Amino acid sequence: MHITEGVAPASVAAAGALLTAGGVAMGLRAMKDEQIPRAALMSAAIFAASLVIRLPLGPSSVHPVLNGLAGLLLGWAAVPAFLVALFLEALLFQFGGITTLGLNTITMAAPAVVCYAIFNRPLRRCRQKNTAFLLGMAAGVTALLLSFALWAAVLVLSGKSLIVIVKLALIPHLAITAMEGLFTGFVVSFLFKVYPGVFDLPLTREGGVAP
Amino acid sequence: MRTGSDLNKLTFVIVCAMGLPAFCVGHGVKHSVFSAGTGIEATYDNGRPMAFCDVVVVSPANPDNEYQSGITDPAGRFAFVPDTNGVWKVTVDDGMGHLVTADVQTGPNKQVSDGVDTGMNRFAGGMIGVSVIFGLFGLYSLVRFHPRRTGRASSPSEPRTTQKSMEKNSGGPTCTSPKA
Repeated sequence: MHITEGVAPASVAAAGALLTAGGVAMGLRAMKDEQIPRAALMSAAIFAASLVIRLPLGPSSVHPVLNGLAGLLLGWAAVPAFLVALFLEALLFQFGGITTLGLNTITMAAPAVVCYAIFNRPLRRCRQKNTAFLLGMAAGVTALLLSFALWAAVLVLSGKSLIVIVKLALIPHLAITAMEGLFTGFVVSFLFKVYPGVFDLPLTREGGVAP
Repeated sequence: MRTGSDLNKLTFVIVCAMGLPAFCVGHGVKHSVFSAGTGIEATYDNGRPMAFCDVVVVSPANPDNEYQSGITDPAGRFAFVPDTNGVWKVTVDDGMGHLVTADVQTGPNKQVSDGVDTGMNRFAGGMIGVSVIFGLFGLYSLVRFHPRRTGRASSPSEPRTTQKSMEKNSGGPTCTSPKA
């Protein structure tokens, strides 16, 4: 789901970079001191998952994005976590690119923030492990589908054919979406059991937990 | 009734019409076989070929306009015949966010530059990446917790919190071990 160098026109890349800059500012502002190690861990997990797990589906390959899980665990802090992971992927392995770093970050991190807004509160209120699993799975699926939609929108804005994108990329991405949904559900239900307070995220650094 | 003069005109026209195909040989085609040319092979990072992807070739003589375009074959290969020496730019685009631009050097002896593998070894790169991530966030913590930033200056006059003082304040040891 990476957009490589030269694919997007300068205006689209610049818009992505601006949105990412805003998201990173929000993320650093919302990140509590205790959340920094968690953000580092999540960023490392995102980076490692894209390297280790690559399924040969479609013309290229697909890999887990973990943006649903990142959104539930980090909230706005998912944006800087994705920025760091994607920067290193571009630098070390040429996945994506430096000029399209903003676009790739916003494509993957924006759905994480949306999932945080939708699923974090129900997750903190739920009392059953099975409900936590379902909420986690829904977050994983929603985040990846939103990422696919954003990625396709960026490519269409860059002059690519929507029909070709849907024809060649939708099936592989649906497969990885189902797998990631299950994985996120299992991780969330496990964390719900052993450390339920992990989902209490602050809105801002100084502020309390979101209502 | 036609006169002899009319017949002569008619004969002249027919003879001219019969000779017309001699000026229309431009519609004929012929071919020859040659083995010259330059090609590239485009693959994804996992080794799979970039098959049936759009290719655009730009000549060093006219960088603003495309020299040739086409699609790769099932093995991700594309060949063209350069008509001048220099660095040719060959761009392969799969239309789904993956694009690679190769600089193909052609010289007097038609040599082509070797392909460059820019990717790093997965394990080594992964270890470096994870280390850098933790390092960056650690550095961010260092900047954020810096005394000048937080206002928690550690001056010599300020009493330092020790294990003993914590025990004194709390009325006992902070960590208790189970009795044997």
